[in-house]
Amino acid sequence: MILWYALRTLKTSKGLFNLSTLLSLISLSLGIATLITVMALVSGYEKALKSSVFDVVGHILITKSPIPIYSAKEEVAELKKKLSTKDFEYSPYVQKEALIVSRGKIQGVLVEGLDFKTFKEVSGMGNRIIRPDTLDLKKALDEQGVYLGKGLQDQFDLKVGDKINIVVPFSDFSFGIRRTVKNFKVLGFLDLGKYEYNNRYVLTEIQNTRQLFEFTESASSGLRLKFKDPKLALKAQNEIIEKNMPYSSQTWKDTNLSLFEAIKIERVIIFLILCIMVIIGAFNLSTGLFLSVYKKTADISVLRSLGLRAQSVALIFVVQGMIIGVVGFILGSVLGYVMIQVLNLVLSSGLFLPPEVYKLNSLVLEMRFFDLIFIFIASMVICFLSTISPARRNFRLRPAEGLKYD
Amino acid sequence: MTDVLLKATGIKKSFTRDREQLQILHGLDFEIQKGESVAIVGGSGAGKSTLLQILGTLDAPSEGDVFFKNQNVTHWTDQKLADFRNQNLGFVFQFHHLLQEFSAVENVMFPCLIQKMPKDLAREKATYVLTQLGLKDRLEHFPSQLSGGEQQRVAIARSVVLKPALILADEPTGNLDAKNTKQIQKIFLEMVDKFEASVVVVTHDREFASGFDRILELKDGLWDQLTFA
Repeated sequence: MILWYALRTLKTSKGLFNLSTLLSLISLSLGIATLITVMALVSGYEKALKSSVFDVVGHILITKSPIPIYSAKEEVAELKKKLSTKDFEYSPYVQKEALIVSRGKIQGVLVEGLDFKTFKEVSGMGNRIIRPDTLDLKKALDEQGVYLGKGLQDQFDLKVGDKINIVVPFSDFSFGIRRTVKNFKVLGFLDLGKYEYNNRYVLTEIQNTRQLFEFTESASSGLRLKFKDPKLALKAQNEIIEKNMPYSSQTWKDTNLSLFEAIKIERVIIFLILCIMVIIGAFNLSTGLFLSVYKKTADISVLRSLGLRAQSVALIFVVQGMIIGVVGFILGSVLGYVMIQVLNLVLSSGLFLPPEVYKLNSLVLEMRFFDLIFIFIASMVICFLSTISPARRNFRLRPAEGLKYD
Repeated sequence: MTDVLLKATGIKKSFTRDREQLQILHGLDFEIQKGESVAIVGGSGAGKSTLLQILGTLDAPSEGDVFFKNQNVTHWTDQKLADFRNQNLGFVFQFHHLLQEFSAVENVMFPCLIQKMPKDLAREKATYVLTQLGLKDRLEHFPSQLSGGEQQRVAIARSVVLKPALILADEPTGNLDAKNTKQIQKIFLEMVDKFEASVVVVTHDREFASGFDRILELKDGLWDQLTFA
């Protein structure tokens, strides 16, 4: 009966929502849509950042810094013996700072060599190629080639097939400072997702880097590990520290620790700030319900005279508030979804996201189910709270009150 | 032996308006037997409606007690009073007070639905009563689509649908033209008779009041003994 009354009195005789309900709905759904859109923006940013980090850094890098790893197999056997999660893939890598010299320009870069046989098991670098279509490290080995971040392409005005020099400075006891220069052929370009990666990353085959940086055969800077779940890498890192294992480790989180932490905090702050918009929407709801209490005083008195309990009358207003809340959430979600699609279209043009500011080259807003659930719960709580005052006003109303003013 | 249905003793009611204490009722006693009909007449501001609301537990007296079937209902909780009203009382108001968003039959269904009667059964009962009142063709009409007389007939149907022991009517014809007044008065008395309810009616229409078993006149919050019938 309560639901029946609540639903019917929210509508006009023509079946649509009445004006007061409509205004509450509009303000509530706008607040919810904005909340959903901005949360999707944060989620999209986090996802793009993570995806970039997973592809480029992997889940965890294990080194014996400052000394190289001489036998990947032996170290992996040792790790598998001591780590609780033994199910992981690995691939050795060599990584060092160097300089690119081309067409009279010099730029500091990070040169990385990956094993063409195993890198696909641990790295998403293959997803990052933009020209040509596939990343071929075997070819890089055979032709002494490199793939460059797309920022470097722009800086040096390079195209596939061009030649560049990579200069590596060494300091040694007998000769002081000396340098090695090797000539590489540009095989393609990568979009690594992050601005700073694109401007200083050079990829080649591990054998090329061993020669370039004067590593011995089969030596590497470290091992790149990939687990079934990225969170297992964090667990592995803890175990390495706790068990005092002779390794240094760097997880996907460490590489952008401050950024990930900032996103986490921003997420909460943005959520709370934008909840204010929903609260403003809920104020309209509360006002609408208050108006309804005054407009319906006579009806309420009649219902009380017919035997409806005060709690049930109060419940009518709570139910009405919650109905508006649910419909507002649905409308807000649809509107939010549309806004996300429009923003994705706008952002894909690249005009509004300068990479040097946002550290990302592309961003796709992502509506997360978990965010939706959280927004739903928050808006329901806010709507419920906004119904309490009108409902209490009803509760205090004596049945004779509405029959007196006629 | 008398069979008292409702009894009120020493009923006083005062309001505070603009810091001034207004005494509306000055210690009234009242009782009505089962099956009896009583009309309360009196001028404007005599306290008729206030007394009726106190008798119907819609308002609490400042002093005094109301007994229903020898049970003192004055200090019952709101919940208990609501159930009591639903099961024992029927109300008819001057301005009919129908719920505008609901059709005639739905308005009459309300008392049944409040006591959690299945919707089909409630509709059946409401349809029956409305048919008895000559509104068979108006079941699905909304109050705004009904004439004043028809609206008041729907209100009467709502008050009797659960066959209450006592019907309390506050100027049931006060808002109607002469033609409808006669018709509604006739229907009201017929329905009361048919549903075997006791009735307390507040009216200023002495002709209408003459059709009741007893007439009481209220003057400035006190019974006017001279007109006690």
